[in-house]
Amino acid sequence: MLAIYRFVSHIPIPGINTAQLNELFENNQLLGFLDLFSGGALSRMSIVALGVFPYITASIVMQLLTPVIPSLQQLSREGEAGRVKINRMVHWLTVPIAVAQGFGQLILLQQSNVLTNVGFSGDALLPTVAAIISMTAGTMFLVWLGEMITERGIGNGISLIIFAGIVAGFPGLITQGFLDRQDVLGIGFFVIIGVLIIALIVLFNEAHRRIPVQYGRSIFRGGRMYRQSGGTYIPLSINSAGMIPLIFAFSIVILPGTVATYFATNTGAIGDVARFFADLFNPTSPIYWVLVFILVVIFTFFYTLVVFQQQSLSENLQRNGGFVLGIRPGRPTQEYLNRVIVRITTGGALFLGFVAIVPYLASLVTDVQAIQLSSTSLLIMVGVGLDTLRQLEAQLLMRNYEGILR
Amino acid sequence: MVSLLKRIVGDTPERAAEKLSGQLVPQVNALEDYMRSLDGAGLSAKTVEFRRRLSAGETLADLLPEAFAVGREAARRTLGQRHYDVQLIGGAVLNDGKIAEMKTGEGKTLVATLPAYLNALTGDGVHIVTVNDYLARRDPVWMGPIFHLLGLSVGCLQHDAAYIYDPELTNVGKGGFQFLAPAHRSEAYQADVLYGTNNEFGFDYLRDNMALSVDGQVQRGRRHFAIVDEVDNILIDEARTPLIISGPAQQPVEHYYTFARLAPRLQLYDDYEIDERSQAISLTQEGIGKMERWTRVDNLYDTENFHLVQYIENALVAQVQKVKDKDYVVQTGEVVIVDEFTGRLQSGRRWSDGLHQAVEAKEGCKIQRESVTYATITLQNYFRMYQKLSGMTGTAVTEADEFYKIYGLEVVAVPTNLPMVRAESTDLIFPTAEGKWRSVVESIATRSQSGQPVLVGTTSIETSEELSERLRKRGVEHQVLNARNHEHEATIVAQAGRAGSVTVSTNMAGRGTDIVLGGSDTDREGWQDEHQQVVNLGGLHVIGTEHHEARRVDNQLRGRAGRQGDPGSSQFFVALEDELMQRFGGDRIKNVMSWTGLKDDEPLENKIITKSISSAQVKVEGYHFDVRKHLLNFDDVLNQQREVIYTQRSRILAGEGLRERLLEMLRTEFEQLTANHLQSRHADDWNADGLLASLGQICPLPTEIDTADKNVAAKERDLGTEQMQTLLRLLLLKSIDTHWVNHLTNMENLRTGVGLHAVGQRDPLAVYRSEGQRAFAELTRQMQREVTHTLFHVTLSPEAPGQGNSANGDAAGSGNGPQNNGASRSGRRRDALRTPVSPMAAVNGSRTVNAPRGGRKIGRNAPCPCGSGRKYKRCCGANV
Repeated sequence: MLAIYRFVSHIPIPGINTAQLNELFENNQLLGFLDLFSGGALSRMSIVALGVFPYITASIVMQLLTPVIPSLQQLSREGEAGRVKINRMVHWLTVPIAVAQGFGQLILLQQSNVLTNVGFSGDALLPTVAAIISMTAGTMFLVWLGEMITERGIGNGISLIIFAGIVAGFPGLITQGFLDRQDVLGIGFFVIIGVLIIALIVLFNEAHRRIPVQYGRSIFRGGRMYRQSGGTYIPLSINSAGMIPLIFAFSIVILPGTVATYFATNTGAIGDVARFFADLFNPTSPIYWVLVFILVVIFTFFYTLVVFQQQSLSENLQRNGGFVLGIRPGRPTQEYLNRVIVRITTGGALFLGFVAIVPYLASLVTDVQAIQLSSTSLLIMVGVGLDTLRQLEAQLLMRNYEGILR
Repeated sequence: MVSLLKRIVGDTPERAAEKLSGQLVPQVNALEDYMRSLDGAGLSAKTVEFRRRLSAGETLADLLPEAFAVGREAARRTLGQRHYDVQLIGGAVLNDGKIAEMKTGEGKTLVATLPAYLNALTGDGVHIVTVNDYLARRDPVWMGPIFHLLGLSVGCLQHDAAYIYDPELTNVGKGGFQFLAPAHRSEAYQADVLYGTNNEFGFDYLRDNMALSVDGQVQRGRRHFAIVDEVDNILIDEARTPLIISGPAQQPVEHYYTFARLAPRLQLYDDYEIDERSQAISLTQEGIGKMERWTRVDNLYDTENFHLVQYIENALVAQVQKVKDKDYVVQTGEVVIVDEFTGRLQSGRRWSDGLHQAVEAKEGCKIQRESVTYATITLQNYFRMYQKLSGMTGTAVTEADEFYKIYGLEVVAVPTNLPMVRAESTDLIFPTAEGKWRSVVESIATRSQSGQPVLVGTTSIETSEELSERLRKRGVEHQVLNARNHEHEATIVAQAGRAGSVTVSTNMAGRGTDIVLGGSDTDREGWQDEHQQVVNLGGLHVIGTEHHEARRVDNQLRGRAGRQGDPGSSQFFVALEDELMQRFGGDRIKNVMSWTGLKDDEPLENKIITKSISSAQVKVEGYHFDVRKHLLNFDDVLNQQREVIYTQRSRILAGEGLRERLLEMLRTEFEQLTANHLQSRHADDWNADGLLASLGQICPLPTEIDTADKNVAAKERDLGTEQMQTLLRLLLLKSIDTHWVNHLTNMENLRTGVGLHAVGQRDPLAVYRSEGQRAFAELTRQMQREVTHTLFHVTLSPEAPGQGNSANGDAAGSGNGPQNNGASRSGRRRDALRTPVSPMAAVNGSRTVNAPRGGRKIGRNAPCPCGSGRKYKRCCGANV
């Protein structure tokens, strides 16, 4: 499956100047970021250039809309059937987003002179539409592929696809780094930092606070009244938002800078303002780092709380006859859980913010610019890797039962 | 285009049936004349011939046409019933391991004989699974002659007895059955064809795996082929309740009465809320506050008090959601569950986790003790153990998806013998229930006056009686059939097809009842005229008064009309106040209704609304399917563990290499102990004393690893080889059984809580798997520990009957410390186990064997099942 994906990502869409394209990518942050999600498919401008990014955007949008729109909220509570329906909506939503993003990218490329003939009139119409359609189709194909993996295989297919994309880009990055620089010490240092960060991410990713939950029902089972096996607790994760705040923050931070760059060549006031912004949002400036940090922290809180409200944990808990010892179900439980989540998310948010800027700090110290050790990709990798590992472990365990008699 | 697609996609159900009728039916028909020319001996000689050919390498498929022809001829001779062509098709579908959908009155029982005969030729036994004991008794008597003529034995399993079909046996004593000779259960299982209910098969499997000796087991090791009658009922409806063999646990009962008194004082909305979809009840803040005041407790959810919560919730559910005469009835001081799908009483079945006790408290009945699970299996997993599984029912197509996904069973619709003529009208929809009932009564009155027989389906005992009251006031003569008067079922059903008769019934009259137009006593004088009269009037008219959650149940009711090509009609009356309408999309319809401005008893007949009702049903069906599938995913984990344990258990039972196993266990235990105590790399830190002490607990010092062998040998010398074998076997079995019971409880608790892991973005199923594995490893370790630590401290003392009674009655077996009473009372155990009683009782000296479904109650003066020979009330039952 993943092999198919890697193969497809090398099919270019018609009418692309590859050489110019590469050049462009080395100079553009936003595109570099997008490229990450498409696993290098964007820099080759293949039919899966958009990757599963539109799908991710669509699901985030849906997730944020769910608590706002009552009918959606109702659907989300309908159990399996509702989930299927929401999923279908996400799919539908993916299409227009893919179209829009595809078009946006073509425009972007045209401005950087990689592409000519973008537009909806005359000669330009046919190739443009063809490119957009093929990109949209490519995205939907990937989504389908990802879902097949989820269904047949192990773990979440969509994340695996992103994962594969990132990993596939690694060897290239590293060789590039070594070739460009003879500075062995710097690279060594960089690698050490990388390993440390990964360790840190693993630590924080796994860290959770266990809220023990008591089920009234279980006291009716067995002669031992108060004994509960180890599984009954709510694992409230320190970093329950995952990488999404990073994506948000980066998207927002990168955008003004990128836009500004286009206008920077203008003369006069517009050019001045643009240049000012371009400098301000330059990834090397400290202001940029601070901004990223703050945004990540804010988004972490925002996203965690939105998602948490959506789970209406206390209600579900009560419905299943569970409760936190010493705390009444319903509102008091909700309040208690909220308090805990805010407290632990504080740590999580600071951590995420730190992770977000650490690569910049690292490259500052080591002066190795070539390797863009993106924190986001690390986070994704760790998350997906751990998840897959667990799934595999569970699968293997299923095959490994032996009783007392070997 | 469509047909082209079908050709690409492959066999659709219709095509599968067509193919069979094109090939198989002519083949069988061609053999008919030849078979007719054979005499009885010639026919039964065919069985011998088939068996020879099978062992010579022919397959069942090769034999199929001939075997079917033989079966058909045997049926014609013995019963005077010749299989129709469509019945041959049905038989072939079953033989293929698929589900045959056959409409009412098409003779499913007869159809099953053909594949049963064919598959019984291998000698591995065929199980025909029926829905209730009555059918499990009726069918072998009815179909027995066919198999008997062909030289096959037929068995019959009942709740507490087993029989072998014997055509000579006509003179039976009180309580016996004609043609059924009492037999031991294991003899019945040796029969070529065995009829029994799903519960009996499942419980026998569980009991076999609790037996302490091979003699105690009744089933054959292999499950060869099963034909499940009313397969949707058994594999889908029943599958929601697992089979559980359980024993008592100690719990105080006063709380139930306390909260049963308090629960009615709570108000809906103010004090508690009900979730519409899941029907889950939860207390509000006020409700909690009130309860805390009434029980004088500061915080219900504190460590000291939280055990009360479940009593409260159970009391509330019992009060609000368990309705007398709908969900249960009270019979001779006991609360008996009424089955939602069939409307029948389910004596012996109990709601779990304290709910049943709460209902008992509400009704002021005597509260029976809580129970602890000894063994459990879901019907899904039981039936998946069969090498070949097939089923038949009138309504399978709506559930085809589930059959395929869970059991790998395809559904094939078998065409009817005569074309079905049943007029199905669209639903009549009323704004209020009152309007609906008035119209129902009127409609019944009109039809019955004209002489047309009417069958009215209701959803509960209560409504059936209310309707009966209305009919009485209106002066309409009628019969009521519900779980309260089920003893008259046969008579009522027999008369239901007579001219002008009105029968009000619960779901009982849905599945399996065969209503013959003009009455079922077809030999009666004037029957022909009456039959013709009813046919001319349009046959049986079925009125449904409420839609059930599942379309199947509706279709079963409709299926009573239009049997075997008879005319018939059906119509449903629906009110917006009906439960299903309220729960799913009732509001929209209500709006439409209010626009039209209809009065109470003016019905709306609208295809769109009818459709939206059935789409609501599809939604509920889907919801339930998800629930079942989810459960099964989790149960798969336990199933795997169960298979491991049960396989090993049966190997121990058979006594395979017990000694080697023991030695190995000793060795590992020594190694682990040594590793624990001598962890440190420095010899100074070794806890040599601790090690020696631990080892000393196992067997007398001095102990070195290589002397374990000698110790075992010494023990064997003391006891004699055979005794040693017995001791070892019992020791191992006992340890497996107690720890397995504990493990079941642990896994159940784990399952309850594991859903919470979804919050931490982890797949609960994956967590359940790995935690389950961990628990299983722990289980293994504990067993090893217990066996090794007990072995040298116990002896067999066959002549010590008193000792067993001093057992503490801790049915669950706390697992701490060696329990040697199990091994010390083994001398009598084999005798005790001849009766199919749960051996757990015998092992632990526990009090009752209380299988929620199918277990039997022990009379106070009966001999105690623990085998002590005393009366139950003086032995294990002393404290009950």
